[in-house]
Amino acid sequence: MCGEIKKMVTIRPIINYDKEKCGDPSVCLKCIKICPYNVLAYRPMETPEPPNPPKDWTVVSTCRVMCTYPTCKLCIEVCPNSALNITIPS
Amino acid sequence: MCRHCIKYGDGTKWYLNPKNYSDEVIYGESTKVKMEDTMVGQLLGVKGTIQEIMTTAQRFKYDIGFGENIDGVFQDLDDDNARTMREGLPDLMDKAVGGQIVPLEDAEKIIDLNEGDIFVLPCICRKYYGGIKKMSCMFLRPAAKPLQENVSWDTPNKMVSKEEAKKMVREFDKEGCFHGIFWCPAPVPVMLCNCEYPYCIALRARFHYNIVDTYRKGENVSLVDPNKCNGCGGTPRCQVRCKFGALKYSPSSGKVVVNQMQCFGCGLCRTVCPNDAITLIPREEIPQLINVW
Repeated sequence: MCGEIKKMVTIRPIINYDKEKCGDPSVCLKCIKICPYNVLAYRPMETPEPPNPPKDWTVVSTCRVMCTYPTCKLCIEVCPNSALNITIPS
Repeated sequence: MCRHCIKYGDGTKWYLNPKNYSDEVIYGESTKVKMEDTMVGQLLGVKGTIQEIMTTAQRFKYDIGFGENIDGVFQDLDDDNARTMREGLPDLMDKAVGGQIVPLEDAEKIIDLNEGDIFVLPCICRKYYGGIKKMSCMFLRPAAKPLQENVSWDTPNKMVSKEEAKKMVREFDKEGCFHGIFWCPAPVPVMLCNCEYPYCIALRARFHYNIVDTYRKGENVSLVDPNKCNGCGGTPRCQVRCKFGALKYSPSSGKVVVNQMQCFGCGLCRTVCPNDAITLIPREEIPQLINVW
Protein backbone atom coordinates (compact mmCIF):
# COMPACT_ATOMS: atom_id res chain seq x y z
CA MET A 1 0.00 0.00 0.00
CA CYS A 2 1.84 3.00 -1.18
CA GLY A 3 -0.60 5.84 -1.24
CA GLU A 4 0.00 9.50 -1.67
CA ILE A 5 2.41 10.84 0.89
CA LYS A 6 0.73 13.65 2.73
CA LYS A 7 2.81 16.77 3.00
CA MET A 8 3.59 17.94 6.50
CA VAL A 9 2.26 21.43 6.89
CA THR A 10 2.40 23.37 10.12
CA ILE A 11 -1.04 24.64 11.14
CA ARG A 12 -1.16 28.39 11.47
CA PRO A 13 -4.12 30.34 12.79
CA ILE A 14 -5.50 32.84 10.31
CA ILE A 15 -5.69 36.33 11.75
CA ASN A 16 -8.45 38.36 10.16
CA TYR A 17 -8.08 42.08 10.45
CA ASP A 18 -10.78 44.56 9.54
CA LYS A 19 -9.13 47.80 8.52
CA GLU A 20 -12.44 49.67 8.27
CA LYS A 21 -13.45 48.85 11.83
CA CYS A 22 -10.00 49.59 13.19
CA GLY A 23 -9.31 52.98 11.69
CA ASP A 24 -5.73 54.12 12.28
CA PRO A 25 -3.74 51.49 14.23
CA SER A 26 -0.73 53.77 14.71
CA VAL A 27 -2.59 55.86 17.32
CA CYS A 28 -3.96 52.92 19.32
CA LEU A 29 -1.38 50.10 19.08
CA LYS A 30 -3.15 48.19 21.86
CA CYS A 31 -3.13 44.84 20.06
CA ILE A 32 0.48 45.23 18.97
CA LYS A 33 1.69 46.07 22.44
CA ILE A 34 -0.28 43.30 24.15
CA CYS A 35 0.66 40.37 21.87
CA PRO A 36 3.06 38.27 23.99
CA TYR A 37 4.73 36.63 20.99
CA ASN A 38 4.76 39.72 18.80
CA VAL A 39 2.76 38.02 16.10
CA LEU A 40 1.02 41.29 15.31
CA ALA A 41 2.95 44.10 13.68
CA TYR A 42 1.95 47.28 11.93
CA ARG A 43 3.18 48.77 8.73
CA PRO A 44 2.31 51.64 6.39
CA MET A 45 -0.31 50.93 3.74
CA GLU A 46 1.76 52.67 1.12
CA THR A 47 5.42 53.35 0.69
CA PRO A 48 6.03 56.98 1.66
CA GLU A 49 8.23 59.38 -0.27
CA PRO A 50 11.17 60.20 2.04
CA PRO A 51 11.56 62.37 4.04
CA ASN A 52 7.78 62.42 4.53
CA PRO A 53 6.43 59.98 7.11
CA PRO A 54 3.86 57.40 6.03
CA LYS A 55 0.21 58.37 6.38
CA ASP A 56 -1.98 55.30 6.59
CA TRP A 57 -1.12 52.21 8.61
CA THR A 58 -2.35 48.66 8.75
CA VAL A 59 -1.96 45.71 11.13
CA VAL A 60 -0.26 42.60 9.75
CA SER A 61 0.30 39.17 11.21
CA THR A 62 3.82 37.80 11.19
CA CYS A 63 5.29 34.44 12.21
CA ARG A 64 1.82 32.98 12.80
CA VAL A 65 3.41 29.73 13.98
CA MET A 66 3.93 31.52 17.29
CA CYS A 67 0.26 32.41 17.83
CA THR A 68 -1.28 30.40 20.68
CA TYR A 69 -4.95 31.00 19.88
CA PRO A 70 -7.40 29.79 21.32
CA THR A 71 -5.52 29.75 24.64
CA CYS A 72 -4.55 33.37 24.25
CA LYS A 73 -7.19 35.80 23.05
CA LEU A 74 -5.59 38.97 24.34
CA CYS A 75 -5.61 40.88 21.06
CA ILE A 76 -9.26 40.11 20.42
CA GLU A 77 -10.25 41.16 23.92
CA VAL A 78 -8.21 44.35 23.97
CA CYS A 79 -9.45 45.74 20.66
CA PRO A 80 -11.98 48.55 21.34
CA ASN A 81 -13.53 48.23 17.87
CA SER A 82 -13.48 44.40 17.65
CA ALA A 83 -11.53 44.59 14.42
CA LEU A 84 -9.65 41.31 14.97
CA ASN A 85 -10.76 37.72 14.91
CA ILE A 86 -8.81 34.50 14.58
CA THR A 87 -9.75 31.25 12.90
CA ILE A 88 -7.95 27.94 12.84
CA PRO A 89 -7.84 26.28 9.41
CA SER A 90 -9.09 22.69 9.43
CA MET B 1 36.84 31.17 11.95
CA CYS B 2 33.69 31.47 9.91
CA ARG B 3 33.68 31.57 6.13
CA HIS B 4 33.64 35.36 6.14
CA CYS B 5 36.74 35.49 8.33
CA ILE B 6 38.56 33.10 6.02
CA LYS B 7 37.57 35.07 2.94
CA TYR B 8 37.70 38.64 4.22
CA GLY B 9 39.48 38.47 7.57
CA ASP B 10 43.17 38.50 6.55
CA GLY B 11 43.98 36.48 9.65
CA THR B 12 41.55 38.15 12.01
CA LYS B 13 37.77 38.31 12.32
CA TRP B 14 36.09 39.85 9.27
CA TYR B 15 34.53 42.66 11.27
CA LEU B 16 37.84 43.49 12.97
CA ASN B 17 39.80 43.74 9.74
CA PRO B 18 40.52 47.47 9.18
CA LYS B 19 40.54 46.87 5.44
CA ASN B 20 36.79 46.27 5.49
CA TYR B 21 36.26 49.79 6.83
CA SER B 22 38.22 51.42 4.02
CA ASP B 23 36.87 53.14 0.90
CA GLU B 24 38.43 50.44 -1.22
CA VAL B 25 36.10 47.79 0.21
CA ILE B 26 33.07 49.95 1.04
CA TYR B 27 32.84 51.13 -2.57
CA GLY B 28 34.59 48.10 -4.08
CA GLU B 29 33.64 45.44 -6.58
CA SER B 30 31.60 43.25 -4.23
CA THR B 31 29.13 46.06 -3.62
CA LYS B 32 28.21 46.42 -7.29
CA VAL B 33 25.84 43.43 -7.48
CA LYS B 34 22.39 44.53 -8.60
CA MET B 35 19.65 43.17 -6.36
CA GLU B 36 17.22 42.62 -9.22
CA ASP B 37 19.59 39.89 -10.47
CA THR B 38 19.34 37.89 -7.23
CA MET B 39 16.56 35.81 -5.70
CA VAL B 40 16.28 37.98 -2.61
CA GLY B 41 15.88 41.09 -4.74
CA GLN B 42 13.23 39.50 -6.92
CA LEU B 43 11.26 38.33 -3.89
CA LEU B 44 11.42 41.79 -2.38
CA GLY B 45 10.85 43.58 -5.65
CA VAL B 46 13.72 45.98 -5.08
CA LYS B 47 16.09 47.54 -7.59
CA GLY B 48 19.68 48.74 -7.41
CA THR B 49 22.72 47.65 -5.42
CA ILE B 50 22.16 46.64 -1.81
CA GLN B 51 23.95 49.74 -0.62
CA GLU B 52 21.63 51.96 -2.62
CA ILE B 53 18.72 50.18 -1.01
CA MET B 54 20.03 50.14 2.55
CA THR B 55 21.89 53.41 2.82
CA THR B 56 19.94 55.95 0.77
CA ALA B 57 16.38 57.27 0.87
CA GLN B 58 15.27 53.88 -0.45
CA ARG B 59 16.04 52.36 2.92
CA PHE B 60 13.08 54.04 4.50
CA LYS B 61 10.91 52.67 1.73
CA TYR B 62 12.03 49.10 2.24
CA ASP B 63 12.44 49.11 5.96
CA ILE B 64 10.93 46.12 7.68
CA GLY B 65 7.21 46.25 7.28
CA PHE B 66 7.41 48.72 4.44
CA GLY B 67 6.40 47.66 0.98
CA GLU B 68 4.00 44.86 0.33
CA ASN B 69 6.40 42.22 -0.88
CA ILE B 70 8.51 42.18 2.24
CA ASP B 71 5.72 40.60 4.26
CA GLY B 72 6.01 37.45 2.23
CA VAL B 73 9.75 37.16 2.61
CA PHE B 74 10.66 36.82 6.25
CA GLN B 75 7.65 37.43 8.36
CA ASP B 76 5.24 34.69 7.52
CA LEU B 77 6.87 31.94 5.50
CA ASP B 78 5.04 28.73 4.80
CA ASP B 79 6.94 25.45 5.13
CA ASP B 80 7.93 25.26 1.46
CA ASN B 81 9.22 28.80 1.24
CA ALA B 82 11.13 28.37 4.47
CA ARG B 83 12.90 25.37 3.01
CA THR B 84 13.76 27.25 -0.19
CA MET B 85 15.15 30.15 1.79
CA ARG B 86 17.11 27.85 4.05
CA GLU B 87 18.80 26.05 1.19
CA GLY B 88 19.28 28.91 -1.22
CA LEU B 89 20.15 31.64 1.16
CA PRO B 90 23.78 31.39 2.34
CA ASP B 91 25.21 32.51 -0.98
CA LEU B 92 22.54 35.13 -1.54
CA MET B 93 22.76 36.56 1.94
CA ASP B 94 26.41 37.36 1.34
CA LYS B 95 25.33 39.60 -1.50
CA ALA B 96 22.55 41.18 0.56
CA VAL B 97 22.28 41.66 4.33
CA GLY B 98 23.04 39.31 7.19
CA GLY B 99 24.30 39.52 10.72
CA GLN B 100 26.58 37.93 13.25
CA ILE B 101 26.58 38.16 17.01
CA VAL B 102 29.55 39.92 18.63
CA PRO B 103 30.53 40.21 22.29
CA LEU B 104 30.78 43.60 23.96
CA GLU B 105 34.53 44.01 23.54
CA ASP B 106 34.26 43.38 19.80
CA ALA B 107 31.36 45.81 19.52
CA GLU B 108 33.57 48.47 21.09
CA LYS B 109 36.39 47.64 18.70
CA ILE B 110 33.99 47.99 15.77
CA ILE B 111 33.04 51.47 16.98
CA ASP B 112 36.73 52.33 17.18
CA LEU B 113 37.46 51.00 13.70
CA ASN B 114 34.59 52.92 12.15
CA GLU B 115 35.60 56.28 10.74
CA GLY B 116 33.57 59.24 11.89
CA ASP B 117 30.40 59.47 13.94
CA ILE B 118 27.66 56.92 14.34
CA PHE B 119 24.05 57.54 13.39
CA VAL B 120 21.42 56.17 15.78
CA LEU B 121 17.84 55.42 14.78
CA PRO B 122 15.01 53.72 16.68
CA CYS B 123 15.10 49.95 16.22
CA ILE B 124 12.74 49.03 13.41
CA CYS B 125 12.04 45.54 14.75
CA ARG B 126 10.90 46.76 18.16
CA LYS B 127 8.88 49.49 16.50
CA TYR B 128 6.88 47.26 14.19
CA TYR B 129 6.49 44.26 16.49
CA GLY B 130 5.90 46.04 19.74
CA GLY B 131 5.20 49.69 19.14
CA ILE B 132 8.36 50.52 21.10
CA LYS B 133 10.73 53.27 19.99
CA LYS B 134 14.13 52.37 21.36
CA MET B 135 17.23 54.13 20.08
CA SER B 136 19.41 51.11 19.50
CA CYS B 137 20.13 50.81 15.76
CA MET B 138 23.65 52.13 15.17
CA PHE B 139 24.70 52.87 11.62
CA LEU B 140 28.36 52.92 10.67
CA ARG B 141 30.09 55.07 8.05
CA PRO B 142 28.62 53.66 4.79
CA ALA B 143 25.09 54.44 6.03
CA ALA B 144 25.42 57.22 8.59
CA LYS B 145 25.51 60.33 6.37
CA PRO B 146 23.06 59.21 3.65
CA LEU B 147 20.52 58.13 6.26
CA GLN B 148 20.82 61.35 8.22
CA GLU B 149 20.05 63.31 5.07
CA ASN B 150 16.97 61.25 4.25
CA VAL B 151 15.40 60.43 7.59
CA SER B 152 11.74 61.41 7.86
CA TRP B 153 10.98 64.38 10.09
CA ASP B 154 8.86 62.44 12.57
CA THR B 155 11.54 59.82 13.29
CA PRO B 156 13.77 60.49 16.31
CA ASN B 157 17.44 60.29 15.33
CA LYS B 158 20.84 61.43 16.54
CA MET B 159 24.47 61.47 15.48
CA VAL B 160 26.73 60.31 18.32
CA SER B 161 30.48 60.35 18.84
CA LYS B 162 32.52 57.20 19.39
CA GLU B 163 32.64 57.70 23.13
CA GLU B 164 28.89 58.15 23.39
CA ALA B 165 28.29 55.14 21.18
CA LYS B 166 30.48 52.97 23.39
CA LYS B 167 28.66 54.17 26.45
CA MET B 168 25.34 53.28 24.84
CA VAL B 169 26.57 49.81 23.89
CA ARG B 170 27.74 49.18 27.45
CA GLU B 171 24.38 50.23 28.79
CA PHE B 172 22.56 47.90 26.41
CA ASP B 173 24.85 45.10 27.56
CA LYS B 174 23.98 45.81 31.16
CA GLU B 175 20.29 45.85 30.31
CA GLY B 176 20.52 42.46 28.62
CA CYS B 177 20.58 43.21 24.89
CA PHE B 178 23.17 41.35 22.86
CA HIS B 179 25.07 42.97 20.00
CA GLY B 180 25.23 42.05 16.36
CA ILE B 181 27.11 43.34 13.37
CA PHE B 182 25.32 43.33 10.02
CA TRP B 183 27.08 43.23 6.68
CA CYS B 184 25.64 44.85 3.60
CA PRO B 185 26.96 43.21 1.45
CA ALA B 186 29.69 40.98 2.90
CA PRO B 187 32.23 42.08 4.07
CA VAL B 188 31.12 45.70 4.60
CA PRO B 189 29.99 46.26 8.21
CA VAL B 190 27.06 48.65 8.11
CA MET B 191 24.94 48.29 11.21
CA LEU B 192 25.58 47.55 14.87
CA CYS B 193 22.45 46.19 16.51
CA ASN B 194 21.47 45.80 20.12
CA CYS B 195 18.87 43.07 19.89
CA GLU B 196 16.64 40.88 21.94
CA TYR B 197 14.17 38.11 21.34
CA PRO B 198 11.25 38.12 20.35
CA TYR B 199 11.49 41.48 18.61
CA CYS B 200 14.54 40.97 16.38
CA ILE B 201 13.36 39.98 12.91
CA ALA B 202 16.64 38.32 11.97
CA LEU B 203 16.51 36.14 15.06
CA ARG B 204 12.86 35.33 14.41
CA ALA B 205 13.75 34.15 10.91
CA ARG B 206 16.46 32.01 12.41
CA PHE B 207 14.47 30.52 15.28
CA HIS B 208 11.14 30.00 13.53
CA TYR B 209 12.29 29.01 10.08
CA ASN B 210 15.87 27.85 10.66
CA ILE B 211 17.32 30.37 8.26
CA VAL B 212 20.83 30.40 9.67
CA ASP B 213 22.39 33.22 7.71
CA THR B 214 20.09 35.96 8.87
CA TYR B 215 21.85 35.94 12.24
CA ARG B 216 24.97 33.84 12.57
CA LYS B 217 26.47 32.72 15.85
CA GLY B 218 29.44 34.66 17.20
CA GLU B 219 33.09 33.72 17.00
CA ASN B 220 33.15 32.78 20.68
CA VAL B 221 31.35 30.41 23.01
CA SER B 222 31.00 30.70 26.75
CA LEU B 223 32.56 28.25 29.15
CA VAL B 224 31.62 27.73 32.79
CA ASP B 225 34.37 26.91 35.26
CA PRO B 226 32.76 24.23 37.46
CA ASN B 227 35.20 24.95 40.28
CA LYS B 228 34.05 28.56 40.53
CA CYS B 229 30.32 28.18 39.80
CA ASN B 230 28.13 27.76 42.85
CA GLY B 231 24.80 27.99 41.02
CA CYS B 232 23.93 31.18 42.97
CA GLY B 233 22.10 29.00 45.48
CA GLY B 234 19.61 27.62 42.97
CA THR B 235 18.70 30.80 41.12
CA PRO B 236 21.56 31.39 38.67
CA ARG B 237 21.71 34.95 37.39
CA CYS B 238 23.40 34.04 34.12
CA GLN B 239 20.55 31.84 32.97
CA VAL B 240 18.09 34.72 32.97
CA ARG B 241 20.32 36.66 30.61
CA CYS B 242 20.63 33.91 27.99
CA LYS B 243 18.36 34.56 25.01
CA PHE B 244 19.19 31.27 23.38
CA GLY B 245 18.46 28.69 26.06
CA ALA B 246 22.06 27.54 26.19
CA LEU B 247 22.56 27.67 29.96
CA LYS B 248 21.13 24.89 32.09
CA TYR B 249 21.10 24.63 35.86
CA SER B 250 21.42 21.22 37.45
CA PRO B 251 19.86 20.88 40.90
CA SER B 252 21.92 17.75 41.64
CA SER B 253 25.33 19.28 41.07
CA GLY B 254 24.15 22.78 41.98
CA LYS B 255 26.04 24.20 39.01
CA VAL B 256 25.33 25.71 35.63
CA VAL B 257 26.40 24.04 32.40
CA VAL B 258 26.55 25.50 28.91
CA ASN B 259 25.20 23.68 25.91
CA GLN B 260 27.81 24.96 23.52
CA MET B 261 25.89 23.75 20.49
CA GLN B 262 23.25 26.32 21.39
CA CYS B 263 25.53 29.07 22.66
CA PHE B 264 25.65 32.11 20.39
CA GLY B 265 28.66 33.66 22.10
CA CYS B 266 27.07 37.00 22.97
CA GLY B 267 28.79 37.10 26.36
CA LEU B 268 25.83 38.48 28.30
CA CYS B 269 25.97 35.68 30.88
CA ARG B 270 29.51 36.37 32.06
CA THR B 271 28.86 39.99 33.07
CA VAL B 272 26.46 39.03 35.87
CA CYS B 273 28.44 36.13 37.33
CA PRO B 274 29.45 37.08 40.88
CA ASN B 275 32.24 34.46 40.91
CA ASP B 276 33.71 35.18 37.45
CA ALA B 277 33.06 31.58 36.55
CA ILE B 278 32.07 32.26 32.94
CA THR B 279 34.59 33.14 30.25
CA LEU B 280 34.36 33.47 26.49
CA ILE B 281 36.65 31.25 24.47
CA PRO B 282 37.22 31.22 20.70
CA ARG B 283 34.97 28.77 18.92
CA GLU B 284 37.85 27.10 17.09
CA GLU B 285 39.32 25.86 20.37
CA ILE B 286 36.53 23.29 20.46
CA PRO B 287 36.82 21.12 17.34
CA GLN B 288 33.17 20.00 17.45
CA LEU B 289 32.00 23.59 17.08
CA ILE B 290 34.06 24.64 14.09
CA ASN B 291 31.18 24.21 11.66
CA VAL B 292 28.37 25.17 14.01
CA TRP B 293 27.07 28.59 13.03
